[in-house]
Amino acid sequence: MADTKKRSEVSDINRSIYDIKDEVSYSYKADTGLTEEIIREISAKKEEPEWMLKKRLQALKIYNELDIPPWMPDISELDMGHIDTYVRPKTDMKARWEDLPENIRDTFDRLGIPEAEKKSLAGVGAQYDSEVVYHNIQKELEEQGVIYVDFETAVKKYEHLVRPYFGTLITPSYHKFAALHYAVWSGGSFVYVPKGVHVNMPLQSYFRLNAPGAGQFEHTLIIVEEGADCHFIEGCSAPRYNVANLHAGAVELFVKKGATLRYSTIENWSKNMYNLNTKKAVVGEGGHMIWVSGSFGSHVSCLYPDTVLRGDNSTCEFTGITFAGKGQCLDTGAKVEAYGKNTSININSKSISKGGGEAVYRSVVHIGPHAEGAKGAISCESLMLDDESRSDTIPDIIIENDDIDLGHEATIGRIPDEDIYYLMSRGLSEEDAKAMLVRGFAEPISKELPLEYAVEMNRLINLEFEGAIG
Amino acid sequence: MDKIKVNTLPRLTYRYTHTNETVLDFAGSRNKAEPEFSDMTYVSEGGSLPDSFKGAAEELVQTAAAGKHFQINIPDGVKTALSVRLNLEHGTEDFCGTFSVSVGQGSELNLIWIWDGKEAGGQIISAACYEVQDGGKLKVSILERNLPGAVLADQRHVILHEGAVCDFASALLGGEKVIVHSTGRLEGRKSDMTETAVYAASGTQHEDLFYHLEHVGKETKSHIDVKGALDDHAKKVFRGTLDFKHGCSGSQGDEGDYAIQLSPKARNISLPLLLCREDDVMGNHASSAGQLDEQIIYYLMSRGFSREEAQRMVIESMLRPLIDRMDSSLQDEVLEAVNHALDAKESL
Repeated sequence: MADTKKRSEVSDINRSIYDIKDEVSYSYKADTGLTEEIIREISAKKEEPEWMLKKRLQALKIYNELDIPPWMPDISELDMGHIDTYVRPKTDMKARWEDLPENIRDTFDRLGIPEAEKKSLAGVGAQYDSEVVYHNIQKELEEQGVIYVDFETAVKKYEHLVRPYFGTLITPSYHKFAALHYAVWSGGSFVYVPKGVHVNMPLQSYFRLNAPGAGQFEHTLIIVEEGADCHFIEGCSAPRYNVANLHAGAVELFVKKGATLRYSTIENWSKNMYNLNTKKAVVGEGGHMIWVSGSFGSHVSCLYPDTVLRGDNSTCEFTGITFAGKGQCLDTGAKVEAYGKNTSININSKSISKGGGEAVYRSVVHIGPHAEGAKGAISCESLMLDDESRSDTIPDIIIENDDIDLGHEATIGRIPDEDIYYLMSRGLSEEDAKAMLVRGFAEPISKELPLEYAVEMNRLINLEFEGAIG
Repeated sequence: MDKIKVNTLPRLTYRYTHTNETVLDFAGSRNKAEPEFSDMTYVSEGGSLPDSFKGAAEELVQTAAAGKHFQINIPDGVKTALSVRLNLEHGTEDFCGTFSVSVGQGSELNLIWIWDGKEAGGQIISAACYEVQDGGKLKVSILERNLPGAVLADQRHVILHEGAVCDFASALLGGEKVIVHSTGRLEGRKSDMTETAVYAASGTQHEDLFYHLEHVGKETKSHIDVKGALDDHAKKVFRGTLDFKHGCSGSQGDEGDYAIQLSPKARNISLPLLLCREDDVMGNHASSAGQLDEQIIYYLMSRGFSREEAQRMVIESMLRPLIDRMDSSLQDEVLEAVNHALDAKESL
């Protein structure tokens, strides 16, 4: 019976906006590949302090020593010898959109970034290839002491704030691609929210990679001081080329006592991209870390935001959706390490795979020996839309004390017939019932996204129904 | 003493958690003990395991294969029962051996394993290959008890043909290092495999439990359910995998791992994997860990039970549904062994 069913078709993501390629132009490009000379050259071009060059060279040494983790998806076609690690666009950083070169301005216009800034953002940063080309923040936030600048500026102007934190949460030895990041990092954002300040509207950084065969290695560092709160949105995209592109950014988040940070990401890289990004947060007493993550693009993705619940009564929420289509392997999930007392963990992950795509949920929840009173709920749902695709769930749960209450549940499969029949019994047509169920599957995630991103996500998951769900 | 890696996950994950496999100190084996069969009608000695047999570790398979090989062949259409006792009488004794169990078309075998021994020390390293032909039924009840300080390795591979049903129910209540490595291949349409296990670990006991059930045929069913209590410095690692292969449409599988933690020093690790290459399936897994429900304990105490009695009742009630799946002749012995294991706990 099952073999005779006609499956629904779920269209691929409409990438027309993202795939428009600008003419490739740059003011400077480092030699292709990864050598000590290239790293020295990047550092010199950036006029960095000596301590940063030293850190880069140490990271290169670690990169050369570490192997590729054996559990990773196949990245054998990624050859660092063919990656341009530093491509400086033909502009320096501007504080007004109209001052940017026309081609770069048009790119961000098409992506709706300036429009979003006017309507609903407290600050915007835009990176084009290896450098940030635009950064702006509302005056009233600046007056309250909020800092939102590109990372190069932060290293020079706010060294006293950056240096004690930079590279301490994600160390170069965290894994091979973290080491690579520290060797060649460029661009990114620095956010500092002083004690007790509430940033009511989100800050957004958008990362656009235009050059074929290039890598993007931006570093994001956010410090939310005691009792403060902030919402940071990260968006990324690139046009599709026939050569591999690489994204190996790092995001370090410090959430202090009683502070709250919400970090939302919509990742929509092109399907020639290797997205080997690293994100980690540490949360102090009574602090809250909220991750919202949508992974739609890239050829291979490895992304597992890591949260260290160091303080008592700290919490972590992770809400994520992954959509793996043809030619994609999206290996995503979350890590949580609970060390404080009475911590709370809530993970809600969903994935859809179709057209031969592979979606993997991979996680670690580690409750330490002194994390008494930890409570956690982990839910993972995977929807398969055809029998060419793959979907795997690989959770790792480690519990080292008895005063805990942790539940984990996961389901995998297609939409149950009985749910369709139930909705039909309430008066819906078969097609409407199926449409409702598939869209309902993604709804808990989309409602966590900012409105314009929720609309975008619904557009990305554009369903065309033909007969029964497979 | 060599360090060997056992029970490696079928799909690896992060290395820094050190949970992809377990590292075990292993000293080889002396192999003196002999199995005792309740009936030799269908039992013969000789032969060997298939070369393709993969157990918890190559070293453990080789050690088992160094002992005798026994064949249990149940012809078509026969309904029978058999018990096998592996008893280590002296602490200096080990058992190493391999078994091939074949259940013919439409046959039924009720097989009981008892692994026992009062003296400290010793090892039981076993490897068994089970094959159940069309419409056959295999029910296996395993009781491991006593055997203080022993290394126990139960390695098994099951192949199920069309409509075959296989039900393993284990009570892991003895030994020091307990290795279970169970793989199942549900080849035939509508074949059905269940793996249940209870444990009550204390002291420095280590339960290392590996289950990997592959759905190959259409409309196959699998069920893994592991429940137990951990006290003192005991450790449990659960690696359970439901693996839906391409073409196994209409199949269903579920796995559960539930642990009660009785000591702040006990360690509980759970890796319940779902691997899926077919959309027309339903796979579920659940895992939970926590303390005994204090509200239930207080309620029972308010009815006149002591705290210890109340705790025992709650643990027993959790394990009871799985104990009830075992052969009825074993159930009282299992409950006694559970109580014996709980007696050894410091916190009760």
